[in-house]
Amino acid sequence: MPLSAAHFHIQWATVLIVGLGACLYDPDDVCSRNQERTDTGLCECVAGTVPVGATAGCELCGDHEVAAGDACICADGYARAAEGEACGLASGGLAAPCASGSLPCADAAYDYCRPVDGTDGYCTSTGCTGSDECPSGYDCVEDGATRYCRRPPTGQGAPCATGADCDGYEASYCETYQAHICLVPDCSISPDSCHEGWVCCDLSSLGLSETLCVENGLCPTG
Amino acid sequence: MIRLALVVAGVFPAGEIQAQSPVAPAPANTAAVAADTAEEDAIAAELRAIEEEESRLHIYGFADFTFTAFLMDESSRWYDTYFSAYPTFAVGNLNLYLEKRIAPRWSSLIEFRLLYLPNGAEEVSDSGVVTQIDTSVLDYEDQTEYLRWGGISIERAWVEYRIHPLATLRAGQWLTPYGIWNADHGSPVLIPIRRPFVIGQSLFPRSQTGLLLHGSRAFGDQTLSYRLTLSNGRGPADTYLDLDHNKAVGGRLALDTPWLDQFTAGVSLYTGTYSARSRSYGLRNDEVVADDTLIEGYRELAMAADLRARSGPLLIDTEVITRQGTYADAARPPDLLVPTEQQPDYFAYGGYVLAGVRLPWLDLMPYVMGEYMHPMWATVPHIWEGAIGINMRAAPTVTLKTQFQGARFSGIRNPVMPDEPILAWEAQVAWVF
Repeated sequence: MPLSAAHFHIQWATVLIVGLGACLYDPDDVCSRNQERTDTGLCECVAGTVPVGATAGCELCGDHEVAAGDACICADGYARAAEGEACGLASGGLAAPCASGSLPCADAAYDYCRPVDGTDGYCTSTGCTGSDECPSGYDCVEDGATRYCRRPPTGQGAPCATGADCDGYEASYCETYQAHICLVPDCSISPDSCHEGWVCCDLSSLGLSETLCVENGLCPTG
Repeated sequence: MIRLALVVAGVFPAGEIQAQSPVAPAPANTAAVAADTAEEDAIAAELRAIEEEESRLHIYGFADFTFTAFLMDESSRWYDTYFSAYPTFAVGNLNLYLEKRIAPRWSSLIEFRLLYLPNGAEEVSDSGVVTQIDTSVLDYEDQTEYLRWGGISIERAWVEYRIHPLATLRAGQWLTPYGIWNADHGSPVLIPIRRPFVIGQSLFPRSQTGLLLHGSRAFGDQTLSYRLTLSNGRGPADTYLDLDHNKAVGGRLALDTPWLDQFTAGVSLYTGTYSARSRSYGLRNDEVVADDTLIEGYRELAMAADLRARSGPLLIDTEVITRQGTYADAARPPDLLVPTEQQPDYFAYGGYVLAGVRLPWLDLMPYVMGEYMHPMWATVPHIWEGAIGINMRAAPTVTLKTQFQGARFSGIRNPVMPDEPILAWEAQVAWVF
């Protein structure tokens, strides 16, 4: 039986309406779990989370951990007894606050008080020959005659929107152009003073009188 | 018959050929039965000749040669990022077709594009220096001379079987049936020089590999045609490798009516899953194990509606296309410019309107085209584009075109794309051979 023009039009409209009503996209949920939208419309990890690889979203840092770049590190005063374990109270051990001459490190394994601000510092170990001998997240560096395990700079990689978000951290520079994270400023290029996995980047060719520690491979000036 | 083959291939529009079909029935003349018989014999002979001709291998193709000059001020930042400041001649498309009716009810079409690429394609080094790939190699035929080799892109390769007058099954790699532009993709039959941005961005995949069932039926003076598709969908190597269990499906419905001189409306749909994977090997309990990781994955749904209206010398083409994509939580790609951040789900959409008038002099067609697109890139929310030009059929197989076009990417939120207009003038000759 021939189909009338009216039938055609009804079928046509039905197909169109059903089609346009189909939806995958949810404008209120465009990023992965533990992510939020940036001002530029991209997705970034929310505070307290770190990226899992380049594409696998973000995971929440554990108790007493803070996000630093792409790793969760122990908060000040906390440390891991071994790699992979949870951060526990340092209580005189690794990363515990100390002061040369007045507050010694109680744990013989971490009996070196590395000064950070005057005589105040944190407890760590000496005598390493490589970073693989240091606790997780620490790198082995030389300072004069002493080789010691250095903790990551505080705040490095923490998300920020303005410079105020990085105040009080060793990573006191808020990079607001692309990554929106706290970075360590005024680093030395030779020898490279940045923590392992990071590199001192000279931005003078871009018209900025800055050197910043950035993650390996992300320095725009090479 | 070459022109008939070109219709099959989408190089010439079917309507144009139908008007010149050599097998159109002759007017009846009941007064002379003998004459009728002679005429029927002649028609039968002509049909046999056509069948013989169709069963031969047809080799044909199209090509185009274009001059492009960008007209922005020398200080335009577009010259620093995407476009060459230097006016350029280029042989663009050089496409060859192999077409044959290989057996009763069976036919095959293969189309491939010959490329100068990868020679000249730009590469970005780790330090950000942009250079061009050089494929020069010493020619073994003449040890004193270097030649630059190029590539081949397989555009289509399919075989089809006519199951029933209403159903033909096609298998292989075929152009995705959507809208107007993707089917009529040969530059000699395209009115403007450039594809609309919304087509070039492939909101629907340009081609797919799998099965396509198609057919049409007349209802009075209207014809309804359909396409149903089942394919690998998109993927890093989707022409021969599917990296997930999810087959893509799609389809198209088009209604051709005699309103005006031609009035064709269609709706198209495509949905599938994209998967890109990596594999790494390691030792576990003294056994080699492979870890398979989804490094990029998304579901997508694309929908489109199109309309072509022709009345006398006036032609209007318009398409609206949308594409939605949602990434898997663990397989969301990083942004190209800000690798520490990742791309959000998207709802891209856009459309264009093309209007032209075929003048009675020199087969000229002045045309205008306007388009808008909201792309899938989070940092580029709006693209506007307009073009004005003239298309001239210098011969049935040769088309001359010239056009001015301008574009503007507005609301840009990335440091590479400037919020400045793009202006270009182009001239093209496109031909069928």
